[in-house]
Amino acid sequence: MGGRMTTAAAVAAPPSEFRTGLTNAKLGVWLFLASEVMLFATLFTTYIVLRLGASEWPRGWEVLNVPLGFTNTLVLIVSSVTMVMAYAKCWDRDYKGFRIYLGVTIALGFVFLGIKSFEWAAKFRVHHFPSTSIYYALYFTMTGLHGLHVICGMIVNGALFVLSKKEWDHPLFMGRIEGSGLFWHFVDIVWIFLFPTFYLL
Amino acid sequence: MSDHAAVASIDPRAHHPHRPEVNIYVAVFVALAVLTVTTVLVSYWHLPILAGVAVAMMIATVKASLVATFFMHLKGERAFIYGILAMTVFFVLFLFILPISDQDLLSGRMTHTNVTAEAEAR
Repeated sequence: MGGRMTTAAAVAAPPSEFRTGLTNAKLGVWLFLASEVMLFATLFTTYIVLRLGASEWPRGWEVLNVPLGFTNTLVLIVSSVTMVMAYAKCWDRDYKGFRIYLGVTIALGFVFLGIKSFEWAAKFRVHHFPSTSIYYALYFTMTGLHGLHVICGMIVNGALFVLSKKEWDHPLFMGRIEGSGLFWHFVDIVWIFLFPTFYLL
Repeated sequence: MSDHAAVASIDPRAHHPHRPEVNIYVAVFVALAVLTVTTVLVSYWHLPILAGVAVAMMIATVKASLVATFFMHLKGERAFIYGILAMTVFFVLFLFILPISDQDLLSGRMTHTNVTAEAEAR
């Protein structure tokens, strides 16, 4: 933006990045999510093709702990609500409320990972590894990739939690929360499909 | 004036069309929780696999749509985002349909048993 631009002019002619009605950041996050959809869609296709071609396949409830998967589903859903509430508090300019909701979102990420690690460890203890069967290969690959996404979301949210001390009043801060939220909700959506695929079918 | 001051003069909320609606967030949360309980309860009936897949994926799709519509604010989003998503859905359909139909065509001809039987016959 031109340094000599007056405040009035800046408002009348918003910078070029707003021509689509979107900030660059938001556009970027959505394009990234589109590529993520392709990534996970490929894995789900792999699952379908391998399952259709398999002579036998375990039913989810025979090999996995449904109550734990159910709990983790609820944990992620609640964390999506707290994430969107953090955005709402950002809108309301309520710093304290924002910190509480974002903090709870990060904490719920830890709860999810804790339960997931417990499930994985239980499998390793009885010598069930990705090499055990196609089912376990897909289970570990897809829940593992999802887990990595949870970790990434927590890192971004954690960074924003720390940054909010200094950058709370930055005009782009709310956009960052919105972008991070979009990613977090996407991770929730992926789990919404992973849960029935591996635990209930 | 400095660049930063010019940017700061714009209310950040002006570029965020999504005014938070906390009542809707709570309603969506209740719907998601109920649907999650439903999908687990249905699984205890041990439906035949096709019926089970149909019910589970239908519920999952509704849940995902709720998250995308209200938490990701797709409701009232700019047309540009809809365009990106339409393109994504178009290509994802290919990602599903092509490999699965290919597998369907191949099955019966190239199964592991057939290949082994063929090798033994030789």
